[in-house]
Amino acid sequence: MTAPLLAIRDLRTWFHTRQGVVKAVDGVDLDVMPGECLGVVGESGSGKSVTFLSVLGLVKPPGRVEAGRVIFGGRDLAKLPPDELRALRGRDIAITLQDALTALNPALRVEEQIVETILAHDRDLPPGRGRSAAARAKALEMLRLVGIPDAERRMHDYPHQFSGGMRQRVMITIALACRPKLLIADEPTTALDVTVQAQVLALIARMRRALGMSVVLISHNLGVVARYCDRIALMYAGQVVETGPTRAVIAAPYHPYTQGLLRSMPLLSDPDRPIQPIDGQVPDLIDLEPECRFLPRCPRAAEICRQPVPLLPMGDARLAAVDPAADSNEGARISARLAAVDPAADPNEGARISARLAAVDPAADPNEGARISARLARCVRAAA
Amino acid sequence: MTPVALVERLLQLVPVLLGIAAVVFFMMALTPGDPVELMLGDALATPEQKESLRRDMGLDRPAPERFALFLKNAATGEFGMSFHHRRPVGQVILERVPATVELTLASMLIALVLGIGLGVLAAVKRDSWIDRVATVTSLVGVSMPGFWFGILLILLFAVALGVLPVSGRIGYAGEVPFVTRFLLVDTLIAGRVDSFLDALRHLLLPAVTLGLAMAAFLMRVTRASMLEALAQDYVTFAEAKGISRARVLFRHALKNALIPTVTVAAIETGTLLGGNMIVETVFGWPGLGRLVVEGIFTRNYPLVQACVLLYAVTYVLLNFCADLLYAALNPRVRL
Repeated sequence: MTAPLLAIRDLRTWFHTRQGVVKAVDGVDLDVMPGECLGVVGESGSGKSVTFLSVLGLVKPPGRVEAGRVIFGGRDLAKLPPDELRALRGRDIAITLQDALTALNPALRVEEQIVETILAHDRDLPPGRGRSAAARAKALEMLRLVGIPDAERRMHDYPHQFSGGMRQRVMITIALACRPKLLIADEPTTALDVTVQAQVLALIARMRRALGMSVVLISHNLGVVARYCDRIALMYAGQVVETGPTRAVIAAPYHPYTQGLLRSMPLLSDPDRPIQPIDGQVPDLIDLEPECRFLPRCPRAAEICRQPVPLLPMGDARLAAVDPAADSNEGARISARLAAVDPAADPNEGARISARLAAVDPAADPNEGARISARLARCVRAAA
Repeated sequence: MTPVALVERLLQLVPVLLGIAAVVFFMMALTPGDPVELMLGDALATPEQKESLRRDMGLDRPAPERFALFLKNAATGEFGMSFHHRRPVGQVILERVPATVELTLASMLIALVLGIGLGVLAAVKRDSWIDRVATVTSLVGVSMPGFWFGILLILLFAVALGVLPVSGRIGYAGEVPFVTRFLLVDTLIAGRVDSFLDALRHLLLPAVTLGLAMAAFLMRVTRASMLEALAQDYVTFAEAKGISRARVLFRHALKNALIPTVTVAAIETGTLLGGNMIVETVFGWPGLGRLVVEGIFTRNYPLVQACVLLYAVTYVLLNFCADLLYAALNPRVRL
């Protein structure tokens, strides 16, 4: 199995406000694989953006990364000196923000805003006088690549002279100017007209293939993520509640929050299906009890949910933070029950899992048990 | 800026100046005190002589008639004779303008460098001891009256320490022939480095007195606008590009933060001109401000009127400059 490009482990980013400590991100684990598109879905305030601003070291006071590791290219970004982290930003990991109108500097020409990124990172530029001309040529090339018409002339314009969709393209140009390995697209379509949204998403997908990069697509729109992402991670109140391959998660979600989200979306295939909103609201992130954060809104709440609920392997490369006893899903129950066992200590565990899976689902892969065992072993190691 | 907008702006000057001319004229006319009594008040002059002088100066005519005459003459650039100097007012004023401009520019320089520098520093080091010291000091600077601060500076540097001169623009030994009447320029034209340094030493205290008050004000404006800029998305995005911290602060944040600061600075220069009257009097600085104060005391009507009109024109032009600067710095504004 290939190593993840970016591995976030137990990340905690808290905001120290007058009212108390807001635990905006509280124990997030996420992997981004090379070349994949990971969709991160959650409501406003679920910690999606703060998680990835923390990755880049861009959280501003009163926010602070309290704990956790951010492994990228074999280095822990959380422990990197500021200069080395800065050298990596824009070159290896780039980000686009929600609204290009506010993210682009209103007082600087578009050309300067692209070229400065290239000048900061590109080592292939010739030294001396030709340097800025070469950077400018690269900027122009990238502008054309993202599809800005008449790029040569428009480079000299200011951001406010572009339309919303074109501004988003300009921001994407800046983010991709140094051909990063990972693009974090924070709500790339929220500020846009519906007609332009699809264009921008298609552009990001096209650039991902062209540059061979990984993409993290942050969105509150499950539909957008379902369409464009290989894997999906759902966040709720500063924690990841479920991750897995997009199709599998959407076809059969484990976590009641995911289930609720899907039930609250209209379906084109079944327009008459009633839309069920999730009752209640997101908890205040100050002074949280060490219990499942979805508990007050959960239709399947049980006594055991009053304890912290960790992410448990659910098989099929999936993880979910659900209490197995409260879950009616047989597969989840098996997997979760096994989580308590150290699989490395029992060489027969894999075979038993296979047998149990076979009992649940006749079509189950006989090797599934071995894979789960391996995953569990990693989980146990990580927990240790 | 289009030529049409420029002409529109200049036309706006006309009603402003008319209004100011009327207010100044009638306030001076209503002020108790008779210039003739002040000039010939030593009882040696006969009533006939006084009457003759009054007629010479046109003061025997009713005020509205004098105002009409004043407007007519002013339109042709003729402001009459200064009662006290017995020379054309325009000439007297022009001699004094360079001293005031020199002082104002020096104060501006101090204010801009200190105000913007400290404002940026305080914003970047928000809530640090630097920020607190700068903020408290600027509050003191804003609230301290200029004449009092000037006297304190004189007492400390000129009287107690004796390192700087008490008043004037230059010592006798350093005097050079006037060319531009800007002493810092004239001393260099004369090739007198010693005179130049002497002029600089004379300039220091009044310029600091005027400049610090404005620096304090500019510092507060800069700090606030810089803090606002630093909280913007474009600063986060600039940081995400991995460009240098200096570039984020000075190219991205400061360029936007300077828009309000520079605008305020241009308008505040008008206030500096007002402050000049007090500071020039305290430091015996032979500029326009002191000329006006003397003119008011001697009821030198033509001189005061012309000076106030000059102030008004300058003030309006400075506002105009502020608009131009605002548009130049902010690409979203098109005049």
